[in-house]
Amino acid sequence: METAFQNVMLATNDTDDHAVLVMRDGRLAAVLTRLGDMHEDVAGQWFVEAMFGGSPPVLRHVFESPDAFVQWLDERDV
Amino acid sequence: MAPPHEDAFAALIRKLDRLAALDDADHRAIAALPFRLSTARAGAHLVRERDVVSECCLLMSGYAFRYKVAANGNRQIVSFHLASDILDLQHLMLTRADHGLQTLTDARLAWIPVPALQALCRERPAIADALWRDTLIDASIFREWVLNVGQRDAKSRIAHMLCEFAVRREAAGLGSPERFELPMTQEHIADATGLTAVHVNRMLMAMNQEGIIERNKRDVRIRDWERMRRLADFDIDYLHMAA
Repeated sequence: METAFQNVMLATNDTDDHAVLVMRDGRLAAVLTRLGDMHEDVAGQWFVEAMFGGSPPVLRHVFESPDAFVQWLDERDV
Repeated sequence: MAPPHEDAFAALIRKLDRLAALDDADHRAIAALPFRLSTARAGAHLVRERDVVSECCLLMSGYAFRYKVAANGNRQIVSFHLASDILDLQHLMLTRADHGLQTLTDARLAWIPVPALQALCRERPAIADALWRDTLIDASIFREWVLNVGQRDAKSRIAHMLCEFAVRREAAGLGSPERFELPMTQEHIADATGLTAVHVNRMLMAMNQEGIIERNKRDVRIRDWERMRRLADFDIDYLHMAA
C-alpha cells in the first residue's frame, strides 16, 4: 500500500495546529496532529484526530512520528 | 478521640439524615453496625468485576471511582466517589460485582457485612428509605453521565464533571466549590468523559484562557460559576440534594 503524508494547518485556537493528512493509495486514512508544548510529557508526539475505514477505536496513545502511526496501522490490519 | 464506630459512621449518618427522617434509634442502629476498617493506597482495586461480594464498602476518607473495561482495554469511569459514600450499595441485593471499584487517592474504608445491612433495612424502615433514595440518586447521576458522554461536546463534558465534583464535594462537607484540589489525573477525567487525555488537556487550557477557571496542575479555581454552569449545561436538580 502506498503511503503519503501531506502537511496542513488546522483551524484550531490552540498550538495543536500542525497536522498531517495520512494518504493511503490516494485516499485519506487519518489526520494526525503534532502535540504542542502545552502537553508537556507528550509534546512533540503525534495524536490521531481522526481515522477512516472500519470502525475506528478510541485511540488513547500517541505516536513518535507519522511513520510510527503507519507501522501501527499496518500491524493492526494484518 | 472519637470511638472508632462514631468516627466510621458519623459522616454516613449526616448524609442519610439528609435523605430520610431518621430518629435517634436509627442513628444508634447505624452506629452499632459491625464493620472492618482498612486503608488503601491510591490506585488500589477494592472490588473487581465478577467478584462475589459479601461486604459493602463505606468510603471514610479519600476518593474512589467505579469503572468498567471494554474488550479493547479502554476503561470507562462511571462515577467518582467521596467520603461518606457507600461505594457499592447494590451488593445488598446483587452479590456479583458488575463493575470494578478502585481508589483515586489514599483512602480509609469501613467494610460492612451485607447481612448486617440487610437486617438493618428490615428493622429500620427509615434507614431502608434513605439507602434506597441514595441508590436512586446514584442512578440519576449515571443517567446524567450517559447524557454527558453521549451528547455534550468535549469542553462541556469536562465542565460538567468539574461542576458535579465541586457541588458534591461541598455537600459532603469537604470544602468550597470555588477552589479545590482535583484528586483525579487527566487520564481519569478522560476515562470519565469518553475523551483522551490530549483532549482533556486542550479543553482545560481553553477554559483557563477564557477566564472560566484558573488552574495550576490539579489546583482548580472556578472563576466564573455562571459561565461554568452554562458551559457545562449543569442543572443541579439531578443530584436531588433538596430531596
